[in-house]
Formats: sequence, structure tokens, C-alpha cells
Amino acid sequence: MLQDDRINALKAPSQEKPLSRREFMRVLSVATAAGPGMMTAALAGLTLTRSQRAEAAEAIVDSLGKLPKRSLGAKMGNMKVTPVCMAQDWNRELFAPALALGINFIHKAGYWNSVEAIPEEIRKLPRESYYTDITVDNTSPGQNPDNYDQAYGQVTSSLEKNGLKYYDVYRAHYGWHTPEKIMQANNTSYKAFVRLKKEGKVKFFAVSQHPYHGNSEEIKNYPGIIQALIDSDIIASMQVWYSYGYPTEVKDIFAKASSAGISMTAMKINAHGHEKMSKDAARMAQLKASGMPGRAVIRDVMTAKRSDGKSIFQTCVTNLGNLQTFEENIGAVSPKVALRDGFDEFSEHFA
Amino acid sequence: MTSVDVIHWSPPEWSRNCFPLPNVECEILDTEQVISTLSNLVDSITEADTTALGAVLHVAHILKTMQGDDGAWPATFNARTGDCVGVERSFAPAPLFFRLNRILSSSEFEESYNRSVAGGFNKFVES
Repeated sequence: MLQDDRINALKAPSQEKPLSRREFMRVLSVATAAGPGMMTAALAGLTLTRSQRAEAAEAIVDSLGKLPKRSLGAKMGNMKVTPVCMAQDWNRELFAPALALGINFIHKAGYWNSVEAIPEEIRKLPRESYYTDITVDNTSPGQNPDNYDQAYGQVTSSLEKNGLKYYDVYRAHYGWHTPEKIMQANNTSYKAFVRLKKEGKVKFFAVSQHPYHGNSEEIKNYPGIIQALIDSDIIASMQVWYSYGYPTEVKDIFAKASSAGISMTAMKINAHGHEKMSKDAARMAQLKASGMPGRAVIRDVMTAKRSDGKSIFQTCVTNLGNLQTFEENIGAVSPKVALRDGFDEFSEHFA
Repeated sequence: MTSVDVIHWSPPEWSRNCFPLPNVECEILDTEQVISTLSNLVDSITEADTTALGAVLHVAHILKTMQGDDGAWPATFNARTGDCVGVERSFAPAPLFFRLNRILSSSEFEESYNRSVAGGFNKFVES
């Protein structure tokens, strides 16, 4: 307690003047003693320098331990990824600790518009050591899904700019509005993908299927669109909006896609579930994440089950902006943290 | 300083979900006001904490879907239903898109921004 009081006393002064080495080490030692997944609570309210944040991040990595990797299935060449992925729009300071934890997939990497835009920690890695996707925008609202040149050109021009050599996943951004456009014969994105694959610029065909709302982009039969994606037999991976509190019919259709061997990634987990979860103390307690809605929503989504008892989602993506949310969210899928929390529903992901 | 925590956000079930609301009862939104709130959130980010950017990017993604063939957006809309209110148009999101591209070294909003310029938006130059 004395130690905590000492840390509290440092919070206001740290806004004006960086903590001394001695002060910072004292803080770090108290934070580390809090246990896996609980460190940043001790750091809250302190203003740290860039190097102090990097050191704190290393300590968080040590406490979380390596994350497990899970196969995305045969349609994805048995690619193995962690239960949480990185995204191009993360805080740049979080890429280094994410890589150290073993996180190996970068969502929206295709939007990096130059070599320098890519964080140095990633640039110096062998390209084959991590996976990327590009979200291709000819299928975005307001665009023409039959614009082959736009689809092909976005991939080739982005690679010329950012030097990533290839993307593992070609992901049709926002997805399609009608089942007819999804069918292989009518699917312009798929035709562009086939050529790009032959050229070694992409490997797997996927979609980020948004549930459009509103007068201009409405899909009245969202499950019908998901069913058409399943039936098309050209989709290897699906990234979809899913979070705590979503309707059962949405969960059911994603379970069907998962059972069909399509690799499933959840997104909008915090955007759509964080507030609801923060008001449900009982569910957070059940997920062994009391007071941590970010950790709870990820556990909730990643343990959503199909009828055969297997998880619907292999991985998920969420926007992370600081060390605290990093630890809270990534801690959700850390075996060390799960053990500490007494959360035992992740055996499938940890196997 | 604007913080994500003090803003009322539209419910996930709404057409324009997780948009900043002036108050909890409001569902008719002014695009300029939305952009002003988002711009304040972008102002609040620091090297150590870019959390507010996540909320901004979510809205920006949906704004992309609301852009018309004229490169502009409805000046007023119903966030719950997604319907435009009135016929007035706005280019308010364009400077924000420009700024997001620059902050993230990204091309994500480039095409949308260029459509605004083609639609008559005076090219934005941030000081």
C-alpha cells in the first residue's frame, strides 16, 4: 500500500517532468507484482517517456507470454495465426510488443502508402515471417464492384508503393450487395484475384462482409448474403461484424460459414460490444474479466460456439491505441493470464 | 479536451452506429457537427495514446459509405435510419479524411477525398 501511495504521488509530477530512473523502476516493480495482465493498472495516470513506455511494454510482453497460434484451416493453406491480429491503424508503439508476443497477421496492410509508412519493427522482418491482407475497395459502397481495373490496380500499385512484395489475403472490402455478384462467374473481384494470384501478388480470396444499413446500402437479407458467400465456394476467409449482444440469427449464420471450413475473423468487437459489456457485471465476472470490458468482449466472441462445440472464430481484430488497452485486450487470449484469472474456456485456442 | 468517454455514441443497432450524438435523445445529426467532434478527438491523440482514433476511424468508415456520386455528403441525416434529411450537401468529411490519411500514412480515404475534390471541394491544405 505504501508503494501504491508512492506511485500515486508521482502521477501529477510526471505530467511536468519525466520520472527518474529510480522512480520508474519502482513503478515497474509494483506493476510487475500485480501479475500477468494487470500491470497497466499500476501505470495509469503516469506520464511516461517513449523509452519508459517501451520498457513497460517489454515487461507486459514478459508477463503475457507467447500467444498460441491456430490454423485457419485447409482453405487458407493451414496458415497459423494468433487469436488477435494487428491492424495497420494501431498505435505504432504497439507493433513491437505485438510481434514479441507472436502476433503475426496485419489487417489492412495494403493501405500503407509507402515503405516508410510501415513500422520499422515490421520492415526489418523477413516478409515470410508474417501475414498481411489488403482490403480492396471496388466493392466499397459508391464504387463499381465490376471495376476490374480498380481491383487489380489497387493491389499492384499499393505493392509498388509499400514494398510488401505480396499480400497473403485479398479481401473484398465491404463485400457484395446481392447474391448474383458473389457467384464465381459474375465476381469481378475473384477474376482480378485469379490473375493476381498467378502473378504471386496474393494467395487467398476473402471478404470483409459488412452488414449495410440505411436507405442506399441496405441488405435486407444479411444471412442470405452470408449463405451465398458459403455457397459460392470461392471464399476462404470471412471477416465480419460480431460482438457481445449480437442477435442469435447472426451468430447462427456465422457458425454455418465456420462449419463450411471458411476461416472466420471477428471485427467491431469493441466498437459494438464494449459499452454493452461494461454494463453487464455478471457476464464480465463469468468471463473472469471483472472491470475489463475489453478483455471480456474478446473472450465472449472467441468462445462463441458452433453446434458441434467448436469455436466460430479463429481470430479477431480490434483497434488498440495505448498500452493499457493493449494489455486488457491481448490479455484476453494469453494462456498465462487465463490461468491467473481462472478462465478455462480457451482450451481449443490454446491446444 | 474532447474524450471518447464523455461523448454520447449512437447504438450499434442504428444505421449510423457509434456516431457522436449531441445528446442521448438526438437522432438527427448535422454532418459538420459530427466532423467537428471527430476532429476534436483527433486533436486529443498523443504518441502514447491514439485510442480516440479508433472511434474516429469507425465513423469515417461509415461516412465513406454515405458519400454521393457528387463527392459530397448529406448535410443532415437521421442516424437511426440512415435517411438524408433535406437536400443540402456538405464536404465537411473531406478535410478529416485528408488528415486521417496523413496521420496513418494511409491510402484508405484517398479515393474518397479525391472524389470530393472532383466534386468541387476546394483542395484542403492543412497548416
